[in-house]
Amino acid sequence: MGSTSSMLTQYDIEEVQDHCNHACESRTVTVDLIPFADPVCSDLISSHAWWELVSQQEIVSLYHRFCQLDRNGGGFVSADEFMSVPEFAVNPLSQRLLRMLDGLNFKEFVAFLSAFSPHTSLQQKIEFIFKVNDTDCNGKVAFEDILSILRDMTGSFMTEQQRQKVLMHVLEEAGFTEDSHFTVPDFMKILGNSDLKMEVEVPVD
Amino acid sequence: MASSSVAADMELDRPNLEDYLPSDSLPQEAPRNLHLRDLLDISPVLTEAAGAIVDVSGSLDLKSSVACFSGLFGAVQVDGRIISEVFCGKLNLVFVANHTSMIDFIILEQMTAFAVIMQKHPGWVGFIQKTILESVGCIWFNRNDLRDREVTARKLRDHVQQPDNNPLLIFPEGTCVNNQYTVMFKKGAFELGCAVCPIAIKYNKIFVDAFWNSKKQSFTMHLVRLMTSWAVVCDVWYLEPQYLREGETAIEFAERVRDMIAARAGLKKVPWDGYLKHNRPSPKHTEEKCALYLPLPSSKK
Repeated sequence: MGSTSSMLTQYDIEEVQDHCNHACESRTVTVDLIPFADPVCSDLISSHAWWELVSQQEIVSLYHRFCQLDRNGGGFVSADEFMSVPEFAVNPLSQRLLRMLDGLNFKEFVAFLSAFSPHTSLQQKIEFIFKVNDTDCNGKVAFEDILSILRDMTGSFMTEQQRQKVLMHVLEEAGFTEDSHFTVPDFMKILGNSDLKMEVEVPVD
Repeated sequence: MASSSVAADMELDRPNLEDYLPSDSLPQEAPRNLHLRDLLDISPVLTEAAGAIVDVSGSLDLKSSVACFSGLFGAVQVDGRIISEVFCGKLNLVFVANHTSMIDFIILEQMTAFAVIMQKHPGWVGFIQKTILESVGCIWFNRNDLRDREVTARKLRDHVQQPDNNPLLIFPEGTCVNNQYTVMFKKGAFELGCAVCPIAIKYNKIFVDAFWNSKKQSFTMHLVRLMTSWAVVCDVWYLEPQYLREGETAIEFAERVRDMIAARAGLKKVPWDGYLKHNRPSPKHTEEKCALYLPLPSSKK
């Protein structure tokens, strides 16, 4: 594993937990590292109800996995290294997810995965889905964005025309048009009542 | 019979699958109405991706992914007509890999439970094949039996369609090749109408030469040599799934995947048909043939 230490200190683990909760609270997955003495950060944490999105044992487990994936020991996992996981490589949305995953360090990696924690709220999960849809990261999802996800998912099973027709139809049925732009509240309205389940269990020894 | 099977082996054509298999391979389910929330809810697919990233043991069975993708299936009615079936899943796929040694399969099997299509070997190798591989779902074929091809093709198709079966691993080179080249890929794996996931395998020669020439050395001896060597080191790369492109023939598709695998593993491409290794007419044979047609003084008889 090169130069990265294979041991996590208790301080490291708590730092990751903090980063994780902060990232979810601020609604975006931050790319910058949070300096560990950040007063704003600790203020935010202390002013909110404390709940563990990711437990300490899960963080240790994820660290082992992160080190497994980070084969050249650079401290972050590259797109190639993610693609070496065959089940990930065959996923229709792998390219999209790679854009969000490429080059993440361990803290950011855990924050990304916290969207799949059973303790994460439905709202946060829907926000994650919104982020996956929002290709140009401008806070708005357009017809083209949804169409492109549909294209990833259906591939050669549908023609482009069929995809457009289907999307137009379901949009109109829901009271939207081809020119509609969706925001997070829109997604909340559409998906909020569904029994959406997006959970991954982190194996813990 | 022997010579015609040699000729058949050496040509890349095979019987047209469509003549023998049903054309409609989509699942027959009663369509239900599709809504915007169905299209936007990509949570199952995202869950699969996250699960793959998180899985520490690396033993996540791919068949669970296949079953999950079959989830979304519905119809949209426009103007009273059903215009399309949104078919989000039923991810048919096969894995293809270049082939250096029989242990390729053993190495890959460590990562994912594959079903394999394999030539039956005589002796104790055949015994191992039968007992161990039967459990993962293996499709046997006999290379020299022409009619067996059609049966095999159908078995392959069936296997790939079933979501509960282990993913199919095919070595399209057809025979073990020296660790430096890839020979032409047989097109059979590429005309099953599903995604092809290429796997590139490259052995590190510093430790052992994994190449097995079945004509010169029995597999037993080969395996003994491998097992008594210090280590077998190889790199395995799982490459992005590939689909048949519009206007591309199965042979072109095979060549394109072969390019990817060869590039990844740093192997040279040669146009030889892999079976020439087994079926090249011997020089003696050619000489005798010449003697029949040319009025040469018969010095060798």
